[in-house]
Amino acid sequence: MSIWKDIALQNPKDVPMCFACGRDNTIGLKLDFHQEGESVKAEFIPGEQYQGWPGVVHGGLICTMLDEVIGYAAGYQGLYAVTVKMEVQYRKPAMIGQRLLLSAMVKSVNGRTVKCDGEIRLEDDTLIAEAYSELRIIRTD
Amino acid sequence: MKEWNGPPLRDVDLDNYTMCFACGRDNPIGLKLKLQRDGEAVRTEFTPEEQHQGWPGVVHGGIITAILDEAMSYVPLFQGLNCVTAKMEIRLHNAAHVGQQLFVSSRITRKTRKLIEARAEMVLEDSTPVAEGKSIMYIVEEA
Repeated sequence: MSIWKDIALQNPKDVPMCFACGRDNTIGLKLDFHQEGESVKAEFIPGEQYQGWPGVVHGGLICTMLDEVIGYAAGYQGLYAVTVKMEVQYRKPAMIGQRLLLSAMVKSVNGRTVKCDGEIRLEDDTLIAEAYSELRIIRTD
Repeated sequence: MKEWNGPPLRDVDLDNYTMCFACGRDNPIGLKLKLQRDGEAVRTEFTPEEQHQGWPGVVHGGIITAILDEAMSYVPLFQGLNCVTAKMEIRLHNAAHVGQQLFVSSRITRKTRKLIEARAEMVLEDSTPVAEGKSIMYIVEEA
């Protein structure tokens, strides 16, 4: 995919319009990540505009959060990558207004492939969803 | 999800429920997808805008996933089965750019008493594959 050559030349830390993490995206999740040991973490309290079934967070957005926290787990290791494959298992519905705790970590790096795990839990540790992803590295720092 | 402890889906008046992020016509930030039945399949189209990007100019993988998830869940919905996604696998083949029209179709590939397996694919106008999804959904109830 030749497009990734163009993307790789841009500053990967400057993505103000990203739907998941961009600070200037008016409809976005504005996720704010930090590193904690080997994990990358963020929190999010979904408003009602992020629902699927009434009162329940849309599964596609659960997936978006997992994809993003996983992408950042690779990014914090200087590996800027794009998702090529993702498996998500939904365990419990997340309700609008509940604080969601996102975390992810890199499991392995092999050539241009990064494998990562991510999960979303409630404050009482209830598992909402977990994901396994494979990403292709487009740039390293 | 093997059990559903969310609100009862049967009580949802789907004709007048308009706040879904993916398909609700009154969700101010939603994708406002219009999903249509086409024989056994479900189809929809979407033209992503700047706020749907991840990497600059490229549609966020999570948005692509949300569209595929919605397309797959509408197949049983059109058959009167209220489902929630239990497991989903997504493969992203090619980048989709902001402004490029995306064409999505989905269908059921397997059905048991409790579960539905569906697949969806997303392509560009020239048939370039963008992504495909496979989903296992748990049937919560018949509408």
